[in-house]
Amino acid sequence: MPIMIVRRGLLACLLLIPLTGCADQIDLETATVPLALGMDLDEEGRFHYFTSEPIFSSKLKKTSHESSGTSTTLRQSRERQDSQILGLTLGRNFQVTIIGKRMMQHKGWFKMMDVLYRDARNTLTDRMIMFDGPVSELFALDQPDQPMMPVLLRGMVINKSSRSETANTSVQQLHRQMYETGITPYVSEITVSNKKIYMAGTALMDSKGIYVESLNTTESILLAVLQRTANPGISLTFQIPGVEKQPPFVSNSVSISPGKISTKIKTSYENGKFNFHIKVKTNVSLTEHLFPFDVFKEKKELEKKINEQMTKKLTALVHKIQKKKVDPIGLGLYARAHEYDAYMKVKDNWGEALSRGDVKIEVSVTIASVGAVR
Amino acid sequence: MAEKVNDCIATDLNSVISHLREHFNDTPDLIFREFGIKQTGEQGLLVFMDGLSDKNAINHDILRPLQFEEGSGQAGGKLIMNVGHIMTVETWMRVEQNLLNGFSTLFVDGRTEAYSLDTRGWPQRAIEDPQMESSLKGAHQGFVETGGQNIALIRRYIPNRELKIRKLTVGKRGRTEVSILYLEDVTNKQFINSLEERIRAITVDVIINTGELAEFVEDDPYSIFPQFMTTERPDAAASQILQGRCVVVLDRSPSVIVAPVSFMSFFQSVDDYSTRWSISTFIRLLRMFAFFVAAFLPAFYIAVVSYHFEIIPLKLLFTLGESRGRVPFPPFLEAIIMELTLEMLREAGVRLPAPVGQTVGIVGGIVIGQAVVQAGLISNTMVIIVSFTAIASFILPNYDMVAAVRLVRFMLMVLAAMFGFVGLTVGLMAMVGHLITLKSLGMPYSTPLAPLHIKDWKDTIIRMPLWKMNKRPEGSAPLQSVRQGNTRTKEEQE
Amino acid sequence: MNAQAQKQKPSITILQFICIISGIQIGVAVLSLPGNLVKAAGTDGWIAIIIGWIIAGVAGTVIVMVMKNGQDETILELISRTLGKWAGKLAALLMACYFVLLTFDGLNRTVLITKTWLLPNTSSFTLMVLMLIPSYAVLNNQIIAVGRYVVVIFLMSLWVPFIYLLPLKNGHLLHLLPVIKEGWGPVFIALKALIYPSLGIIAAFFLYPYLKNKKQAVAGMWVSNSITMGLYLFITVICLLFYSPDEFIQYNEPVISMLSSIEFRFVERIEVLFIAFYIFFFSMVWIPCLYLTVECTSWMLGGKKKTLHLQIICVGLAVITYLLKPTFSASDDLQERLMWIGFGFEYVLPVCLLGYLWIYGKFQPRR
Repeated sequence: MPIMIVRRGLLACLLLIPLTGCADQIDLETATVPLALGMDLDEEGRFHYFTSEPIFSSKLKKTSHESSGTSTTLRQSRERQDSQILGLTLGRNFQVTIIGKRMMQHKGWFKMMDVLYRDARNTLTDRMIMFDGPVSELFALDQPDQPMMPVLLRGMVINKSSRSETANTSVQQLHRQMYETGITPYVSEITVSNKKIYMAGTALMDSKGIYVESLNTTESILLAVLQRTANPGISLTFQIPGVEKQPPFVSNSVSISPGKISTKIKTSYENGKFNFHIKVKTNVSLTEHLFPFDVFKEKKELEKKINEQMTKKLTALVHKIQKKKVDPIGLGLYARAHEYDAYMKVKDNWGEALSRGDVKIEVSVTIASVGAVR
Repeated sequence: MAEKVNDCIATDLNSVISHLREHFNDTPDLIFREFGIKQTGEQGLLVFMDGLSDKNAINHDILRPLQFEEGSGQAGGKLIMNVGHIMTVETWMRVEQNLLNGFSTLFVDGRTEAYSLDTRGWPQRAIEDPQMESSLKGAHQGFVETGGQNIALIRRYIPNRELKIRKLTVGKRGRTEVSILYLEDVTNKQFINSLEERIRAITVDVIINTGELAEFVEDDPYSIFPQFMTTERPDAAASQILQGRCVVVLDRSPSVIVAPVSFMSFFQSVDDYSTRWSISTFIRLLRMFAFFVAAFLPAFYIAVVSYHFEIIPLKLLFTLGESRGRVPFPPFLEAIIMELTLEMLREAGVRLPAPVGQTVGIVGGIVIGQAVVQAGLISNTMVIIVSFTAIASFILPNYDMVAAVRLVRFMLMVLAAMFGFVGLTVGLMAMVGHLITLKSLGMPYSTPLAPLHIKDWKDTIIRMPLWKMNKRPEGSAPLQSVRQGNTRTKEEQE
Repeated sequence: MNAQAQKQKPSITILQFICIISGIQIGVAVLSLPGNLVKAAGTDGWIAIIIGWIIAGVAGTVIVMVMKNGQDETILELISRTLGKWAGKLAALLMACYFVLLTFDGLNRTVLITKTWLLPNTSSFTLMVLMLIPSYAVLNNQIIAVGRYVVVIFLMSLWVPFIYLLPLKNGHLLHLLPVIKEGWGPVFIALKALIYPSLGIIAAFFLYPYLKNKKQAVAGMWVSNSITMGLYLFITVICLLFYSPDEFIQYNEPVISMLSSIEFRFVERIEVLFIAFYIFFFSMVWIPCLYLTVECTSWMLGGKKKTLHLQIICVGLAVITYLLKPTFSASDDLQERLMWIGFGFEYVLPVCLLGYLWIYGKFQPRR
């Protein structure tokens, strides 16, 4: 019996050991949860970080607190942040990550984000945004009539990207785009003018992550068409040549709203060149046309004209991309899937290979509905 | 029985009186009545306990016929009385027992035997609506404090000779009658035998209540989960017997024990069978959900707020952060304070008479709840969580299970406060581990889930239409598995 | 009561048999499998699973065939009957070591993953003790409890695969093309990565005598193997669709990391909830293995005092964690070793045993 008692006692002691551990407890109110993370370089090339964290108090008028400073790495910046504020800073609730344009023009900026991926407690769903201008300007913006900046930005990215007007790149997807050789990264781009935040479109980067080009919202939509990510609900406007204008109105415009878009990409490799044949096919509804036109009689003709215009615009976009030697469409994935051996040779320089390649675009649009009036 | 010789009752009435007086000293409610028996011409002595026996019966059915009616006139002849149950007793021990149980005992001068006459008539309550388990559509008769009546109530539902009763007595001083009711051709003998064995092994003074009996015969007395179910509804007891379980009726106790039961039995109520099957299925699922809410919600809240607030959606984060920001206590303490307050309120309500109890509820729930939030002592989210938990725990139909859930809740809260979700998972793991090893009368406690009996799910997790449940539950290993034939022919089903 | 319980030999159903074996196999191994496959064979790694399925199925069948030689006895009794008492003891010792390694590996991984994703500042020792508490609660009973526990966990986890369909929104079928890009060589090399995740079929050596209906054993082996390999195939293909082939190797635990990208409106960071739930899943490795360890050691020392053995092993595991301070690299190292040890135990040993028993059976009647 005594042995039993000793054994039970020992077991009980063992059970008590876990009682010692609450090292990870951080109550919500003692934590500081930055919702936005900003990174930028200043004129001298020093690394700046910015965060915006909400203040949980109804007594203070201001709902958020912005902190910033310089440091060598993001992780190091955390200590700096902690010294400024009440709680402990944690990267668990980031909504958006904003990188300044200047920083993005420097090779190796992506490495600065390492901690976001390495520390498993950080978020990976925060949206990547490039800010055209110094990030400090964005964080200094105080808009009492609008929701908190991080919430606003995330909402903007998610809602605009549902209509394909910008990219919807999360930190996780950026990781993929950076490491995948068959695609180059692209993120949302915003600007500030007159103290207001504007969604500018999409920023394109080369395979090293260096910023090379921006696309406006229309181009972003077209990019989404080529990426096969365009959802029904997008809107495209074309000017039809040969139709008389009545200045100041641009009355030769026609707007369409495509339904489900089917984009087929055919890949071939000939004479050391990659050829892509992209067929875009969709049923559209006419949402607006500003010129007199009999939809029933001249439907075929109008479809033809829209096809021409859309092909032109898509081709222009592809040329722009090829010129900059990037591939946000992800044509490299197709090249690898269908022309594996040829692709593996140019894998590390895919943008270059694509710029030498041939991309043919064919659009076929069918007008399915013309709206409520004739 | 070495003293058997001494135990024999005396033949002489005077020595009977002195013997009884000696043994029952300071017992003023023991009444002696001497009279002459006209029927035989002998001298008689009637002894009974005042209050335990029916005076009308004694006056009209015993004393009157014996004193005034003509009989054989021979000494030692048969005595004619209007009493249903007459026992001949020869030992003092039996006499004593019978007296104390309300039998009156007739001694006749010169005879070596006495007669115990069933004149039991102690203070009794009328049959009423069950208090704890009220039902909407079920019967409104509840068990009372007399074992015999309770058995009768069950027999009313199962008038079948296969309904057998094993009668045992428990308690050295109390000598409580315990009856095990079961269906001979259905219930697995293993259960009855082990139940009988366990009840026989009890050596105590007295057993007052079914709860005590259950505690003595439970498989794992250290478990916080009830391994036997008590019910105060005869219809519930009868339906359990029909499913192949035994029912233990304890005399003097207004509830009976049902055994063996599984964990899932605690989520069923009689009303499930009187409402439409789709609705009772929904209610059963709701109860299951409520169980998890009642056990896990406060712990989950603590884990989220003090470890994993990254899972809170952004909009909620603002409200939560704001309401937490004003509170001086850490979440765990906050939760414990609120939970303890609630438990106190509940206990206060239980013991107080109904009108006062309601007031307590209002004061506690509304006034304190409101004031505590306004004073900034407790966050309003916590109040919501605690009231939600309380409501969830009221949904569970069985009081014992609700009590167990309360304890589980506190344990999980401690675990959550120490390890967040990891603590919760470990808690759940330990609970699952405990439940699957637990047994009720040797039957696995977690029966239709582990071991898996998918067929039994028809009447546990959901409730299928009654005409689909043609078999008795496999979990309780019945001897006869077919319960009913096909009620609906194929055409009707279509 | 006790006498009655002992008289009844405990038995397990075919479902419990299947779940225990699949549980040991899947457990923690599923986390590293896709990464290992991709390292070896790129996006063609999934083909190896189909080949591995057949090999593991055959190995399982061999084990059952070995067990058919005995009459209601575990492998240890069978060995000591045919090879001698001391061979039996030696086998028990070796197997106990093997199972305790598997147990430790499972617990260790769980602790490490919990530390990385949920509680980075809590000590491994504390977590280890925490994990051992429920294991002790389950194991203080017989094989029946283990069987029931594993079945319950299986039922509770049935919905998990469906969650993995959600990240597919960002999946790309193009990743898988072209099939067999580098020829069949890498696919066969990738088979090596499947050894560790298929370890666990050896449990049949010990479960077979308890099985209610012995005729179902072979079918059971194949079903459990199919469940395991089906799940592996499912998870691997999903990982391949989700992660770009170039990016894949950047992740240590792609199976968990993938959850980080799931977004719900009502709850953010769903992966936190999941990883906590996965502890349940991981326990399917260490609980049966701990049981088997106790079974081996107690058989070796006479079959008594199982509880004492369990207590000693639990305390031992906790103490080892305290002394060793587990790291990922050490855990990877252990898995690498276990792969070869397990290969010996689960693939080579049964074949040898079967051969020996065949010869033994040939010579036995002549005596």
